[in-house]
Amino acid sequence: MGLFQKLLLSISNSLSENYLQPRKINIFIQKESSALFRQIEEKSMEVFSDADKEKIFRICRRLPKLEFVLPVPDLQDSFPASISPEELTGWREKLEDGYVIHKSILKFQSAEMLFGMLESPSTESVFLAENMERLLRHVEVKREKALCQYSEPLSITKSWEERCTFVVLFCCYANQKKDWRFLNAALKLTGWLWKDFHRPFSNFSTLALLNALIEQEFTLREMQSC
Amino acid sequence: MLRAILFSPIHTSLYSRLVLQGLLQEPQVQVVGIVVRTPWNTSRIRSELKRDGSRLAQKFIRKYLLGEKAFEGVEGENLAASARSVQLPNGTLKDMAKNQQIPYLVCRDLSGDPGERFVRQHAPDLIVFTGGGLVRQNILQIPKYGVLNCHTGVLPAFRGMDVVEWTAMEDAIQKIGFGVTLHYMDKGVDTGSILLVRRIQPASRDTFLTIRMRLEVEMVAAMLEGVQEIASGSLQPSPQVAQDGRQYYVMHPRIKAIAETRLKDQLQE
Repeated sequence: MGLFQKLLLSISNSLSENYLQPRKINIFIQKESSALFRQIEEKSMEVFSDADKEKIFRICRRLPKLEFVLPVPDLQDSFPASISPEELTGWREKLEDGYVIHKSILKFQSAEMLFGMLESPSTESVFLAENMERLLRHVEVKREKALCQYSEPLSITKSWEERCTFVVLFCCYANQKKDWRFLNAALKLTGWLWKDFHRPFSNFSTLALLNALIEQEFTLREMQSC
Repeated sequence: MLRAILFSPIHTSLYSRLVLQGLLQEPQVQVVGIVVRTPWNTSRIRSELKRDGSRLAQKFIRKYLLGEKAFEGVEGENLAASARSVQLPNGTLKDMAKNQQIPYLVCRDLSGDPGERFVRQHAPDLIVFTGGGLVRQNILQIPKYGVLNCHTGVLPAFRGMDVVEWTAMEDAIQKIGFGVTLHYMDKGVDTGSILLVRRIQPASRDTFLTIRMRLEVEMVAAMLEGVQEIASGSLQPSPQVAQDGRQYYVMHPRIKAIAETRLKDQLQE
């Protein structure tokens, strides 16, 4: 093999895949969680919306299981009540052909509703499994453009929140079903969300990304320990 | 006599050349055409870059710029060693086509109009697919038998991408194993009827790279065995049941790191 060919081979071998490194995630979690806990201490939980409270409760529950030296607030309340069975049924009835995604257009609130089903004891497993599989395929095929079109016009901020919720949904589903494909997709999603978050002049919710990343790291740890 | 057309991702593909060489030596098979996809196609580069990221650069360097030279110094079974053992002539598919006077087409998309016209003109009984992207219904319906593909995993369990890595990740080396599956293509991804499965026995020092190299050798053998048996009428396809397997996608590097550990653990058992 000639010198030039050896050089090409060594370049080929050294090309590593570009992805969001755990070190960056850890720095982000440490910094943003500290800022969040300071805010809670200074202003109390009442200043947060219900949706944000839910994220904070989840963060506070997950964070102690990860290796961070952070004074996690001891929140006395439990999670806000999840979606009622009546709400789930009503939402399901409105779905076109029984799927949350149709021609790359997502039914608004799909993540939240599927999440409700996942956590509910009376989960309809076939409906959930079929829709999760469809969502997985959508994310893997559409990649950066996935989860961006909704049945109702959404603001960029709201669409961002929805995408972050999908990460949490994918992680919880992966953990519950021990299906690594969903965590694999969640890792890709957070990589794309990270890029959007760090674009100049972006004004996306830090809390939503923080919640998604903590859920991802928590799931990775949980699934590895099984 | 079985009339076959070869589909290839690139004129330098070692896999395609080895399959072609084998087909040419098969008395019951007549290769009536070769269709090669041009690499110099912006939409192809864009879609592969989107799917593979930096892996595309690796693929390009190894397969397009280095060819057999990428295997130099590599121990064990690999395509370059196979090429040496069957005395595969140097040169590209174009050279082989010229020497054998086989009609040859270079096109942007295997399923595009020029590709379809070429296939219809040469009326094959079988298309032997050795890569080059999606094959759409307009092509799938032309050959009498269908379009033959060899998948680098055991079907129906592991459909899709990176299935060598996913087999280790799912702790399925003992139960399912590493292997290749010869199947007819249909509109789904690796969902067509199965013709045959060939497995390899991994060694304790194997890595994903060495397993892939060994599977590439098996792919050539499976393809040639399949074509031979289709020509003699002794191979019957069996349909897949979707629920018997899962669709896998490109593995994230963090999951791949875990899969590497699991591979080592399972090979030590």
